Amino acid sequence: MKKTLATVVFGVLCLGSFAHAQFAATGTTTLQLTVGPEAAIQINTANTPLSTSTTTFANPFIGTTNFTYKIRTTKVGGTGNVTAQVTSDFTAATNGPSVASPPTAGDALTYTCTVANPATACSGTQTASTSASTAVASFGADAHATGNAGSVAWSLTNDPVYPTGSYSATVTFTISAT
Amino acid sequence: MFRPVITNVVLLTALSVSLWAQGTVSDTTHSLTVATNANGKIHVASSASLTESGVPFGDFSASVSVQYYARTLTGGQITVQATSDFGACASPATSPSIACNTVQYSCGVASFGSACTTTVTLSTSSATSVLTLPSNSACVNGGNPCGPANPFTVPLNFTLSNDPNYKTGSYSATLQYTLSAT
Repeated sequence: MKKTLATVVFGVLCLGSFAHAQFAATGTTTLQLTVGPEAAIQINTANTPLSTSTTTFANPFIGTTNFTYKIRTTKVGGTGNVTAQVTSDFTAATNGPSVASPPTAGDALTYTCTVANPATACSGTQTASTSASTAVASFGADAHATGNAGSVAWSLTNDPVYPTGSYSATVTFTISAT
Repeated sequence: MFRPVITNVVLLTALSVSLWAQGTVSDTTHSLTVATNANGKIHVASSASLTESGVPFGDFSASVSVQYYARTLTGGQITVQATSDFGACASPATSPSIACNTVQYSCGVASFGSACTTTVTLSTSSATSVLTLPSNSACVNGGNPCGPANPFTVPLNFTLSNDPNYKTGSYSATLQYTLSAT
């Protein structure tokens, strides 16, 4: 009985000691932070008009979409990409311009890329697609950008079979980082 | 055979006399005096995680609750200072850095005292104010607020700008809170 009582008293004293030990004249907190890969893109040209400079079918319809990107890729082994995909085609009109089903073989919406470092711009001329995303830019490991510029120069075949009128398509740009 | 009995009688008598003597004392002016110095103590969680808001490159933020007891004569304060940094301050940045003035904090409502009302930039070189304690604060709300069962609290919210230039990885910094009461 005496032993039991002694144990209880000791326990209470310890509890009181711990309860007060966490309070002191000063206290410290460690702020912890994990910085991961991340990317963001802003399209600055919400509507990109495509126009041709001639009326002789000699030149395609052209226009430029400007964007700004931010990116952070992993220090070792990280990568990043900017891609584009036509998510809404120009038209369902007969013989109208179309990315998915052009009225004439060879008609296409193509583009070239200009992107500031640390990006590597897409190579050559790319053909836009409704079924798959296509390259605009790529990044390597430990890439950082706080708001760098890029642009896509569009070119749409000026096919005489296109009926006159206005057409629009939607292109979705996606940026990713690992 | 008789001796033990006599002894007991004597002892009982003496005890009785003593009790009567206590019962006749008239003493209604006891003064209990306790000298209490200005004092205070503080507690914060040992760690807090800065997490990013839902938007790309949104700020990192963390909430920290500072608990404290305080008894002041002329006043007091709680301050905070970074005693170690996430990384070195550089331009362009390569890591988060408190020395680069990238961490700010704001205060919620303090249960006792006046917490900061504007956003404060955390510093590695000097302590910045979290809260000011009033003078003559001992037990202003009764006994319990000064006791161990009811520490005061002030919530703090830290934010760190999310610079794309930060290299990926884990970082940590240590903040020291100090309570002074006079």
